[in-house]
Amino acid sequence: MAMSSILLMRKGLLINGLRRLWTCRVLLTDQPENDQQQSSQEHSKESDEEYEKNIKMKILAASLKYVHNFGWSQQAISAGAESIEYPGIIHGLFPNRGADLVHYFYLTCNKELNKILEEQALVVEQSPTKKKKTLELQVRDAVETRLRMVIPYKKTWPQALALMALPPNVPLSLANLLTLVDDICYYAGDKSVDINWYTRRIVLAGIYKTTELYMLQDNSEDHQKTWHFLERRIKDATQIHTILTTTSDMALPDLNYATEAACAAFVTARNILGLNWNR
Amino acid sequence: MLHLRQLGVRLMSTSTASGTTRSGKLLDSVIRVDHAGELGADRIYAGQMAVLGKTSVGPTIQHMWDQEKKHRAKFEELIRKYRVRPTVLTPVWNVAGFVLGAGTALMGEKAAMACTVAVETVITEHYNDQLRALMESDEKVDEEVLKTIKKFRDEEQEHHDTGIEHGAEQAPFYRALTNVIKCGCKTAISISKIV
Repeated sequence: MAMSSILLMRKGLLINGLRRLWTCRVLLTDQPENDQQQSSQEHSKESDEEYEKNIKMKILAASLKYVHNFGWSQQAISAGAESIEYPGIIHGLFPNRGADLVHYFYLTCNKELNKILEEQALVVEQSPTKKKKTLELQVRDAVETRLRMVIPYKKTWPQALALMALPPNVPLSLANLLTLVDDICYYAGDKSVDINWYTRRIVLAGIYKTTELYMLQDNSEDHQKTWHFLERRIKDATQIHTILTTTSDMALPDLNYATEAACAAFVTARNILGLNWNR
Repeated sequence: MLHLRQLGVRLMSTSTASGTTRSGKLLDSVIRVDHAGELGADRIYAGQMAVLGKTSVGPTIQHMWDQEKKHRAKFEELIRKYRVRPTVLTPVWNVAGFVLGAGTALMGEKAAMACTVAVETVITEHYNDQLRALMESDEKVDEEVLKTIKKFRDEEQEHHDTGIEHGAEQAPFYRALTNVIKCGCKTAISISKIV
Protein backbone atom coordinates (compact mmCIF):
# COMPACT_ATOMS: atom_id res chain seq x y z
CA MET A 1 0.00 0.00 0.00
CA ALA A 2 2.70 2.41 1.08
CA MET A 3 4.78 1.34 -1.88
CA SER A 4 1.99 1.97 -4.33
CA SER A 5 1.27 5.37 -2.90
CA ILE A 6 4.93 6.27 -3.20
CA LEU A 7 4.93 5.11 -6.79
CA LEU A 8 1.82 7.11 -7.46
CA MET A 9 3.34 10.16 -5.89
CA ARG A 10 6.51 9.77 -7.87
CA LYS A 11 4.53 9.44 -11.05
CA GLY A 12 2.53 12.51 -10.17
CA LEU A 13 5.65 14.48 -9.41
CA LEU A 14 7.27 13.47 -12.63
CA ILE A 15 4.24 14.26 -14.68
CA ASN A 16 3.45 17.54 -13.04
CA GLY A 17 6.95 18.72 -12.32
CA LEU A 18 9.36 17.80 -15.03
CA ARG A 19 7.05 17.60 -17.97
CA ARG A 20 5.48 20.84 -17.14
CA LEU A 21 8.74 22.62 -17.64
CA TRP A 22 9.89 21.38 -20.94
CA THR A 23 7.93 18.73 -22.71
CA CYS A 24 4.74 20.34 -21.68
CA ARG A 25 4.38 23.01 -24.21
CA VAL A 26 0.88 21.56 -24.22
CA LEU A 27 0.22 23.54 -21.08
CA LEU A 28 0.82 26.67 -23.03
CA THR A 29 -1.11 25.71 -26.10
CA ASP A 30 -4.08 25.55 -23.77
CA GLN A 31 -4.98 29.03 -24.84
CA PRO A 32 -6.74 29.15 -28.19
CA GLU A 33 -6.10 31.86 -30.74
CA ASN A 34 -8.01 35.06 -30.19
CA ASP A 35 -9.56 35.15 -33.58
CA GLN A 36 -10.95 31.67 -33.22
CA GLN A 37 -14.70 32.05 -33.28
CA GLN A 38 -16.98 29.41 -31.94
CA SER A 39 -20.56 29.07 -33.00
CA SER A 40 -22.72 29.15 -29.92
CA GLN A 41 -25.25 26.75 -31.43
CA GLU A 42 -23.18 23.74 -30.54
CA HIS A 43 -24.06 22.45 -27.13
CA SER A 44 -21.48 19.77 -26.61
CA LYS A 45 -19.33 20.10 -23.53
CA GLU A 46 -16.17 20.73 -25.49
CA SER A 47 -17.60 23.67 -27.37
CA ASP A 48 -18.95 25.17 -24.16
CA GLU A 49 -15.45 25.11 -22.78
CA GLU A 50 -14.07 26.71 -25.90
CA TYR A 51 -16.76 29.33 -25.78
CA GLU A 52 -15.93 30.21 -22.21
CA LYS A 53 -12.24 30.38 -23.05
CA ASN A 54 -12.88 32.75 -25.93
CA ILE A 55 -14.77 35.11 -23.66
CA LYS A 56 -11.94 34.96 -21.17
CA MET A 57 -9.44 35.83 -23.88
CA LYS A 58 -11.55 38.78 -25.00
CA ILE A 59 -11.83 40.12 -21.49
CA LEU A 60 -8.12 39.76 -20.82
CA ALA A 61 -7.27 41.48 -24.09
CA ALA A 62 -9.51 44.38 -23.14
CA SER A 63 -8.06 44.51 -19.64
CA LEU A 64 -4.53 45.22 -20.83
CA LYS A 65 -5.51 48.81 -21.50
CA TYR A 66 -6.32 49.32 -17.83
CA VAL A 67 -3.08 47.92 -16.50
CA HIS A 68 -1.54 51.38 -16.49
CA ASN A 69 -4.14 52.61 -14.04
CA PHE A 70 -4.87 49.61 -11.89
CA GLY A 71 -1.77 47.44 -12.21
CA TRP A 72 -1.94 43.71 -12.88
CA SER A 73 -4.95 43.24 -10.68
CA GLN A 74 -8.54 42.24 -10.32
CA GLN A 75 -9.61 45.86 -10.86
CA ALA A 76 -7.97 45.94 -14.26
CA ILE A 77 -9.86 42.80 -15.25
CA SER A 78 -13.14 44.24 -13.98
CA ALA A 79 -12.59 47.47 -15.87
CA GLY A 80 -11.67 45.55 -19.00
CA ALA A 81 -14.80 43.40 -18.75
CA GLU A 82 -16.99 46.46 -18.32
CA SER A 83 -15.41 48.16 -21.30
CA ILE A 84 -16.66 45.37 -23.57
CA GLU A 85 -20.03 45.21 -21.83
CA TYR A 86 -19.63 42.28 -19.53
CA PRO A 87 -20.47 42.74 -15.87
CA GLY A 88 -17.46 43.74 -13.78
CA ILE A 89 -18.22 40.91 -11.38
CA ILE A 90 -17.08 38.47 -14.08
CA HIS A 91 -13.57 38.69 -12.66
CA GLY A 92 -14.66 35.59 -10.72
CA LEU A 93 -13.78 33.66 -13.88
CA PHE A 94 -10.13 34.35 -13.15
CA PRO A 95 -9.25 32.68 -9.86
CA ASN A 96 -5.60 33.73 -10.16
CA ARG A 97 -6.54 37.37 -10.71
CA GLY A 98 -3.54 39.42 -11.79
CA ALA A 99 -1.48 36.33 -12.53
CA ASP A 100 -3.94 35.28 -15.21
CA LEU A 101 -3.58 38.65 -16.83
CA VAL A 102 0.23 38.51 -16.72
CA HIS A 103 0.19 35.02 -18.13
CA TYR A 104 -2.08 36.11 -20.95
CA PHE A 105 0.20 39.03 -21.76
CA TYR A 106 3.29 36.84 -21.72
CA LEU A 107 1.64 34.33 -23.98
CA THR A 108 0.48 36.85 -26.57
CA CYS A 109 3.95 38.41 -26.65
CA ASN A 110 5.53 34.99 -27.12
CA LYS A 111 3.15 34.28 -29.97
CA GLU A 112 3.91 37.58 -31.62
CA LEU A 113 7.65 37.02 -31.32
CA ASN A 114 7.18 33.56 -32.78
CA LYS A 115 5.38 35.07 -35.75
CA ILE A 116 8.09 37.68 -36.30
CA LEU A 117 10.88 35.10 -36.09
CA GLU A 118 9.06 32.79 -38.46
CA GLU A 119 8.69 35.56 -41.01
CA GLN A 120 12.36 36.44 -40.70
CA ALA A 121 13.31 32.81 -41.19
CA LEU A 122 11.15 32.67 -44.32
CA VAL A 123 12.76 35.78 -45.75
CA VAL A 124 16.21 34.34 -45.19
CA GLU A 125 15.16 31.10 -46.82
CA GLN A 126 13.80 32.81 -49.89
CA SER A 127 16.85 34.94 -50.52
CA PRO A 128 19.88 32.78 -49.86
CA THR A 129 22.18 35.25 -51.59
CA LYS A 130 21.68 37.88 -48.93
CA LYS A 131 24.21 37.85 -46.17
CA LYS A 132 22.92 36.04 -43.13
CA LYS A 133 23.00 37.57 -39.70
CA THR A 134 25.42 35.98 -37.28
CA LEU A 135 24.02 33.79 -34.58
CA GLU A 136 24.76 36.27 -31.78
CA LEU A 137 23.13 39.09 -33.68
CA GLN A 138 20.08 36.97 -34.35
CA VAL A 139 19.70 36.09 -30.68
CA ARG A 140 20.33 39.68 -29.66
CA ASP A 141 17.68 40.99 -32.03
CA ALA A 142 15.16 38.40 -30.91
CA VAL A 143 15.66 39.25 -27.24
CA GLU A 144 15.48 42.95 -28.00
CA THR A 145 12.24 42.55 -29.97
CA ARG A 146 10.72 40.58 -27.14
CA LEU A 147 11.81 43.06 -24.46
CA ARG A 148 10.49 45.99 -26.47
CA MET A 149 7.05 44.45 -26.16
CA VAL A 150 7.31 44.90 -22.40
CA ILE A 151 8.33 48.59 -22.57
CA PRO A 152 4.77 49.98 -22.78
CA TYR A 153 4.08 48.26 -19.46
CA LYS A 154 7.41 49.12 -17.90
CA LYS A 155 5.92 51.10 -15.04
CA THR A 156 3.87 48.19 -13.73
CA TRP A 157 6.16 45.39 -14.88
CA PRO A 158 7.88 44.93 -11.47
CA GLN A 159 4.50 44.02 -10.06
CA ALA A 160 4.03 41.47 -12.81
CA LEU A 161 7.47 39.98 -12.09
CA ALA A 162 6.54 39.70 -8.43
CA LEU A 163 3.29 37.97 -9.33
CA MET A 164 5.07 35.49 -11.56
CA ALA A 165 7.55 34.69 -8.81
CA LEU A 166 4.83 33.62 -6.36
CA PRO A 167 5.15 29.88 -5.72
CA PRO A 168 1.80 28.83 -7.24
CA ASN A 169 2.61 30.71 -10.44
CA VAL A 170 6.19 29.57 -10.77
CA PRO A 171 5.59 26.47 -12.93
CA LEU A 172 3.60 28.39 -15.47
CA SER A 173 5.97 31.34 -15.66
CA LEU A 174 8.95 28.99 -15.95
CA ALA A 175 7.21 27.15 -18.76
CA ASN A 176 6.55 30.49 -20.43
CA LEU A 177 10.16 31.56 -20.16
CA LEU A 178 11.49 28.23 -21.36
CA THR A 179 9.17 28.20 -24.34
CA LEU A 180 10.35 31.68 -25.18
CA VAL A 181 14.04 30.74 -25.14
CA ASP A 182 13.30 27.50 -26.96
CA ASP A 183 11.67 29.46 -29.77
CA ILE A 184 14.58 31.87 -29.98
CA CYS A 185 17.09 29.02 -30.07
CA TYR A 186 15.09 27.15 -32.68
CA TYR A 187 14.84 30.08 -35.05
CA ALA A 188 18.48 31.01 -34.46
CA GLY A 189 19.27 27.58 -35.87
CA ASP A 190 20.45 25.72 -32.79
CA LYS A 191 21.42 22.23 -33.90
CA SER A 192 22.66 20.70 -30.67
CA VAL A 193 21.26 17.33 -29.63
CA ASP A 194 23.14 16.74 -26.41
CA ILE A 195 23.56 18.45 -23.08
CA ASN A 196 24.37 21.68 -24.95
CA TRP A 197 20.70 21.85 -25.81
CA TYR A 198 20.02 22.51 -22.15
CA THR A 199 22.98 24.74 -21.34
CA ARG A 200 22.23 27.04 -24.25
CA ARG A 201 18.63 27.48 -23.26
CA ILE A 202 19.40 27.99 -19.61
CA VAL A 203 22.13 30.54 -20.36
CA LEU A 204 19.83 32.38 -22.72
CA ALA A 205 17.05 32.38 -20.12
CA GLY A 206 19.52 33.89 -17.66
CA ILE A 207 20.55 36.56 -20.13
CA TYR A 208 16.95 37.39 -20.89
CA LYS A 209 15.98 37.70 -17.25
CA THR A 210 18.97 39.83 -16.21
CA THR A 211 18.46 42.15 -19.17
CA GLU A 212 14.81 42.45 -18.25
CA LEU A 213 15.76 43.50 -14.74
CA TYR A 214 18.34 45.93 -16.08
CA MET A 215 15.77 47.48 -18.36
CA LEU A 216 13.47 48.32 -15.46
CA GLN A 217 16.13 50.60 -14.00
CA ASP A 218 17.27 52.05 -17.29
CA ASN A 219 16.38 55.69 -17.98
CA SER A 220 18.53 56.25 -21.05
CA GLU A 221 16.96 57.29 -24.31
CA ASP A 222 15.35 54.41 -26.20
CA HIS A 223 16.89 52.13 -23.57
CA GLN A 224 20.26 52.24 -25.33
CA LYS A 225 22.06 51.16 -22.17
CA THR A 226 19.93 48.04 -21.94
CA TRP A 227 20.80 46.93 -25.45
CA HIS A 228 24.50 47.51 -24.77
CA PHE A 229 24.13 45.52 -21.59
CA LEU A 230 22.49 42.72 -23.59
CA GLU A 231 25.32 42.75 -26.14
CA ARG A 232 27.89 42.50 -23.39
CA ARG A 233 26.10 39.56 -21.77
CA ILE A 234 25.90 37.71 -25.07
CA LYS A 235 29.57 38.40 -25.71
CA ASP A 236 30.42 36.97 -22.28
CA ALA A 237 28.43 33.84 -23.00
CA THR A 238 30.08 33.25 -26.37
CA GLN A 239 33.47 33.84 -24.81
CA ILE A 240 32.87 31.21 -22.16
CA HIS A 241 31.57 28.88 -24.84
CA THR A 242 34.69 29.26 -26.98
CA ILE A 243 36.96 28.69 -23.99
CA LEU A 244 35.12 25.50 -23.09
CA THR A 245 35.08 24.14 -26.63
CA THR A 246 38.74 24.88 -27.34
CA THR A 247 39.88 23.07 -24.24
CA SER A 248 37.83 19.99 -25.06
CA ASP A 249 39.07 20.05 -28.66
CA MET A 250 42.71 20.21 -27.65
CA ALA A 251 44.71 17.27 -28.87
CA LEU A 252 44.91 14.62 -26.21
CA PRO A 253 48.25 12.90 -25.66
CA ASP A 254 48.61 9.69 -27.59
CA LEU A 255 46.53 7.17 -25.67
CA ASN A 256 47.47 4.15 -27.76
CA TYR A 257 50.29 3.03 -25.51
CA ALA A 258 48.17 3.39 -22.43
CA THR A 259 45.32 1.31 -23.86
CA GLU A 260 47.70 -1.35 -25.10
CA ALA A 261 49.42 -1.58 -21.73
CA ALA A 262 46.09 -1.77 -19.91
CA CYS A 263 44.86 -4.45 -22.27
CA ALA A 264 48.00 -6.51 -21.89
CA ALA A 265 47.81 -6.27 -18.12
CA PHE A 266 44.18 -7.34 -18.14
CA VAL A 267 44.80 -10.32 -20.43
CA THR A 268 47.74 -11.45 -18.32
CA ALA A 269 45.68 -11.21 -15.15
CA ARG A 270 42.92 -13.18 -16.81
CA ASN A 271 45.33 -15.89 -17.87
CA ILE A 272 46.87 -16.13 -14.42
CA LEU A 273 43.44 -16.55 -12.90
CA GLY A 274 42.60 -19.21 -15.49
CA LEU A 275 39.63 -17.32 -16.80
CA ASN A 276 40.44 -17.63 -20.49
CA TRP A 277 37.42 -19.57 -21.60
CA ASN A 278 37.14 -21.30 -24.93
CA ARG A 279 40.15 -19.74 -26.43
CA MET B 1 -4.37 14.40 -9.54
CA LEU B 2 -7.07 12.68 -11.57
CA HIS B 3 -8.25 16.08 -12.57
CA LEU B 4 -4.78 17.04 -13.70
CA ARG B 5 -4.43 13.91 -15.74
CA GLN B 6 -7.74 14.56 -17.46
CA LEU B 7 -6.55 18.04 -18.19
CA GLY B 8 -3.37 16.59 -19.62
CA VAL B 9 -5.27 14.26 -21.90
CA ARG B 10 -7.45 17.05 -23.12
CA LEU B 11 -4.51 19.34 -23.73
CA MET B 12 -2.69 16.61 -25.55
CA SER B 13 -5.50 16.32 -28.04
CA THR B 14 -5.47 20.03 -28.74
CA SER B 15 -1.72 20.39 -28.92
CA THR B 16 -1.17 18.66 -32.24
CA ALA B 17 -3.70 20.88 -33.91
CA SER B 18 -2.32 24.18 -32.69
CA GLY B 19 1.41 23.57 -33.02
CA THR B 20 2.85 23.96 -36.48
CA THR B 21 6.44 22.93 -35.99
CA ARG B 22 5.79 20.89 -32.88
CA SER B 23 5.30 17.20 -32.46
CA GLY B 24 2.75 15.28 -30.44
CA LYS B 25 3.55 13.96 -27.02
CA LEU B 26 3.92 10.30 -27.97
CA LEU B 27 6.13 11.02 -30.97
CA ASP B 28 8.14 13.37 -28.79
CA SER B 29 8.93 10.63 -26.31
CA VAL B 30 9.50 8.03 -29.05
CA ILE B 31 12.13 10.12 -30.80
CA ARG B 32 13.82 11.11 -27.55
CA VAL B 33 14.18 7.58 -26.25
CA ASP B 34 15.30 6.20 -29.62
CA HIS B 35 17.95 8.84 -29.95
CA ALA B 36 19.19 8.02 -26.46
CA GLY B 37 19.21 4.32 -27.36
CA GLU B 38 21.17 4.75 -30.55
CA LEU B 39 23.60 7.03 -28.77
CA GLY B 40 24.14 4.30 -26.19
CA ALA B 41 24.52 1.62 -28.87
CA ASP B 42 27.04 3.73 -30.74
CA ARG B 43 29.07 4.10 -27.56
CA ILE B 44 28.85 0.38 -26.73
CA TYR B 45 30.38 -0.53 -30.09
CA ALA B 46 32.97 2.21 -29.64
CA GLY B 47 33.94 0.56 -26.35
CA GLN B 48 34.12 -2.87 -27.95
CA MET B 49 36.23 -1.56 -30.79
CA ALA B 50 38.64 0.08 -28.37
CA VAL B 51 39.39 -3.34 -26.90
CA LEU B 52 38.73 -5.81 -29.71
CA GLY B 53 39.49 -3.57 -32.68
CA LYS B 54 42.60 -5.46 -33.70
CA THR B 55 41.29 -9.00 -33.22
CA SER B 56 39.56 -11.25 -35.73
CA VAL B 57 36.07 -10.00 -34.85
CA GLY B 58 37.18 -6.40 -35.42
CA PRO B 59 35.69 -6.02 -38.93
CA THR B 60 32.34 -7.51 -37.83
CA ILE B 61 32.07 -5.08 -34.94
CA GLN B 62 33.18 -2.23 -37.17
CA HIS B 63 30.40 -3.04 -39.62
CA MET B 64 27.76 -3.03 -36.88
CA TRP B 65 29.24 0.14 -35.44
CA ASP B 66 28.96 1.91 -38.79
CA GLN B 67 25.30 0.98 -38.98
CA GLU B 68 24.69 2.28 -35.47
CA LYS B 69 26.38 5.54 -36.37
CA LYS B 70 23.95 5.93 -39.25
CA HIS B 71 21.03 5.22 -36.91
CA ARG B 72 22.24 7.84 -34.49
CA ALA B 73 22.66 10.44 -37.24
CA LYS B 74 19.15 9.71 -38.46
CA PHE B 75 17.61 10.26 -35.04
CA GLU B 76 19.61 13.43 -34.53
CA GLU B 77 18.10 14.66 -37.75
CA LEU B 78 14.61 13.72 -36.54
CA ILE B 79 15.20 15.54 -33.24
CA ARG B 80 15.92 18.73 -35.14
CA LYS B 81 13.06 18.24 -37.54
CA TYR B 82 10.40 17.63 -34.91
CA ARG B 83 11.85 19.97 -32.29
CA VAL B 84 12.13 17.22 -29.74
CA ARG B 85 13.96 17.85 -26.51
CA PRO B 86 16.94 15.48 -26.26
CA THR B 87 17.28 13.57 -23.01
CA VAL B 88 19.12 15.30 -20.17
CA LEU B 89 21.14 12.19 -19.53
CA THR B 90 23.14 12.15 -22.78
CA PRO B 91 26.47 12.47 -20.93
CA VAL B 92 25.49 9.58 -18.66
CA TRP B 93 24.51 7.25 -21.52
CA ASN B 94 27.65 8.33 -23.34
CA VAL B 95 29.90 7.09 -20.55
CA ALA B 96 27.74 4.14 -19.50
CA GLY B 97 27.62 2.81 -23.06
CA PHE B 98 31.36 2.95 -23.48
CA VAL B 99 31.98 1.32 -20.11
CA LEU B 100 29.52 -1.47 -20.86
CA GLY B 101 31.06 -2.11 -24.29
CA ALA B 102 34.66 -2.00 -23.12
CA GLY B 103 33.87 -3.92 -19.92
CA THR B 104 32.27 -6.87 -21.66
CA ALA B 105 34.90 -6.83 -24.39
CA LEU B 106 37.60 -7.17 -21.74
CA MET B 107 35.91 -10.39 -20.60
CA GLY B 108 36.55 -11.82 -24.07
CA GLU B 109 34.96 -11.66 -27.50
CA LYS B 110 32.22 -14.07 -26.59
CA ALA B 111 31.14 -11.95 -23.67
CA ALA B 112 31.17 -8.94 -25.96
CA MET B 113 28.90 -10.80 -28.34
CA ALA B 114 26.65 -11.78 -25.44
CA CYS B 115 26.37 -8.10 -24.58
CA THR B 116 25.44 -7.32 -28.17
CA VAL B 117 22.81 -10.05 -28.13
CA ALA B 118 21.28 -8.80 -24.89
CA VAL B 119 21.17 -5.17 -25.98
CA GLU B 120 19.80 -5.92 -29.42
CA THR B 121 17.10 -8.20 -28.02
CA VAL B 122 15.80 -5.43 -25.83
CA ILE B 123 16.03 -2.85 -28.58
CA THR B 124 14.20 -5.00 -31.12
CA GLU B 125 11.42 -5.62 -28.62
CA HIS B 126 11.34 -1.94 -27.78
CA TYR B 127 11.05 -0.92 -31.44
CA ASN B 128 8.24 -3.40 -31.94
CA ASP B 129 6.37 -1.97 -28.96
CA GLN B 130 6.83 1.51 -30.31
CA LEU B 131 5.55 0.59 -33.74
CA ARG B 132 2.48 -0.93 -32.16
CA ALA B 133 1.89 2.11 -29.96
CA LEU B 134 2.36 4.55 -32.84
CA MET B 135 -0.03 2.64 -35.08
CA GLU B 136 -2.65 2.38 -32.37
CA SER B 137 -2.54 6.03 -31.33
CA ASP B 138 -4.63 8.61 -33.12
CA GLU B 139 -1.72 11.01 -33.30
CA LYS B 140 -0.75 11.74 -36.85
CA VAL B 141 2.60 10.12 -37.46
CA ASP B 142 4.70 10.62 -40.53
CA GLU B 143 5.32 7.61 -42.70
CA GLU B 144 9.02 8.49 -42.49
CA VAL B 145 9.24 7.81 -38.77
CA LEU B 146 7.52 4.44 -39.06
CA LYS B 147 9.72 3.38 -41.96
CA THR B 148 12.85 4.46 -40.11
CA ILE B 149 11.92 2.49 -37.02
CA LYS B 150 11.05 -0.59 -39.09
CA LYS B 151 14.32 -0.48 -40.99
CA PHE B 152 16.37 0.02 -37.84
CA ARG B 153 14.56 -2.81 -36.08
CA ASP B 154 15.51 -5.19 -38.88
CA GLU B 155 19.13 -4.12 -38.69
CA GLU B 156 19.22 -4.53 -34.93
CA GLN B 157 17.79 -8.02 -35.40
CA GLU B 158 20.68 -8.74 -37.79
CA HIS B 159 23.17 -7.62 -35.16
CA HIS B 160 21.50 -9.96 -32.70
CA ASP B 161 21.87 -12.88 -35.11
CA THR B 162 25.50 -11.98 -35.80
CA GLY B 163 26.13 -12.08 -32.06
CA ILE B 164 24.63 -15.55 -31.76
CA GLU B 165 26.68 -16.76 -34.73
CA HIS B 166 29.87 -15.62 -33.07
CA GLY B 167 29.21 -17.83 -30.10
CA ALA B 168 27.57 -15.43 -27.70
CA GLU B 169 25.87 -18.32 -25.95
CA GLN B 170 29.19 -19.84 -24.97
CA ALA B 171 30.18 -16.78 -23.02
CA PRO B 172 30.85 -17.23 -19.31
CA PHE B 173 27.72 -16.73 -17.21
CA TYR B 174 25.77 -16.09 -20.41
CA ARG B 175 22.39 -16.20 -18.68
CA ALA B 176 23.29 -13.95 -15.78
CA LEU B 177 25.24 -11.55 -17.96
CA THR B 178 22.50 -11.07 -20.55
CA ASN B 179 19.81 -10.74 -17.91
CA VAL B 180 21.70 -8.06 -16.06
CA ILE B 181 22.35 -6.12 -19.27
CA LYS B 182 18.76 -6.52 -20.43
CA CYS B 183 17.50 -5.22 -17.12
CA GLY B 184 19.85 -2.23 -17.35
CA CYS B 185 18.73 -1.44 -20.88
CA LYS B 186 15.08 -1.55 -19.93
CA THR B 187 15.67 0.81 -17.02
CA ALA B 188 17.58 3.18 -19.28
CA ILE B 189 14.74 3.12 -21.79
CA SER B 190 12.07 3.91 -19.25
CA ILE B 191 14.15 6.75 -17.81
CA SER B 192 14.89 8.28 -21.21
CA LYS B 193 11.22 8.25 -22.13
CA ILE B 194 10.55 10.87 -19.48
CA VAL B 195 13.65 12.84 -18.67
